Amino acid sequence: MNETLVVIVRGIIAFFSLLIFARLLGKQQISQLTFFDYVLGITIGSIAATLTTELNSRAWVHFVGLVVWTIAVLALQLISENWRYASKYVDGEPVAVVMNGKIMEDAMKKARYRASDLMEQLRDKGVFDLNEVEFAILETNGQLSVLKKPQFQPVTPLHMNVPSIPNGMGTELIYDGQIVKQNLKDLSLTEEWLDSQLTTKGINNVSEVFLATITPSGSFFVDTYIDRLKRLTDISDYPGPN
Amino acid sequence: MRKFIFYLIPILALALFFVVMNGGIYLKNVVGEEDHHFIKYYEKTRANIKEEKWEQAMDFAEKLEYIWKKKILWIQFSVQRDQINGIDVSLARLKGYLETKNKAGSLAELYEARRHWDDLGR
Repeated sequence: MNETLVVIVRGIIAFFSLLIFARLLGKQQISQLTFFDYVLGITIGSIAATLTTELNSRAWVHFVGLVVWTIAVLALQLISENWRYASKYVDGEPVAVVMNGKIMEDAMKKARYRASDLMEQLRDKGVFDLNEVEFAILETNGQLSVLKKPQFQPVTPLHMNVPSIPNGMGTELIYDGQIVKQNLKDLSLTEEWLDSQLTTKGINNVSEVFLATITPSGSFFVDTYIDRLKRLTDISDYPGPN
Repeated sequence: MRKFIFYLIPILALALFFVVMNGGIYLKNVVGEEDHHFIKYYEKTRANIKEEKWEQAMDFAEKLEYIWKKKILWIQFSVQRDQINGIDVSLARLKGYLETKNKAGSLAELYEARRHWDDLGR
């Protein structure tokens, strides 16, 4: 028995089976996975790994295991999709851990969620003072959604009755020293116009530009390869290799 | 047409995987010429051991081992390594028992090899 050859063939089978089954199960962002989805992913991956290297058992039995788990996940997805009660049973429900500025200790205890977890996830959301929080919801995927009290919410043009223009998304005009002609054409802009914009920024040649973008509102951004910074900010706080 | 191909490729891939993973059950009996069958030489070896014709039994046992080595190439993707090793070891021991003209030992090893053979791919 040529073990290397067998592992290569079984590895190919496991890889493509996993690819096909993962496509069958659909796309979910890692951040959207519930704890159960996460465990399912690990289990299915583990079966695929065993299929590849466990030569003391037939590849077929591991493949059947892979199929069974995939079908189970698929069935659970279909049931959860069509039956709300089942969805609640499987995935659980979001839990309000802060309500009207008050911490819900009982709800936190039930979710086995510590105060330190709450503080950490609030900091992750840019909230460093609990007084700012009106509502904090622990989602089924473990993320914390935070609603700040009105007095701590940032002022928007709407609050100030200031008319606003949509910013839109930046489009690349120069990428790595090369003009992106397709984007220029789509935006009805010319290379002459681009040259004039670069000249106003003191740039004589496109090859000097690392990246140039423009938004629908007309905001033009350009960055050159040579950054003429007078003073560099060192963000390292400990000596060592960079 | 594109959608058809989109579904056809994974279906064909899974079908191919099925054949590779289960082909051993079928291939173990059909690979090779008519006179290269494992069971045929197993029966001949057994008959010669029973009649205590040790030299003929050894010839057939060697032929059996040769056929077995050829079959491994075809069935290795769909059977357990332990089963392959089991037959390897039984056939090696069988030759030892035949050399010492031990009827009980050689029959026991031959039957064990047969049991492993029957279980191959199951």
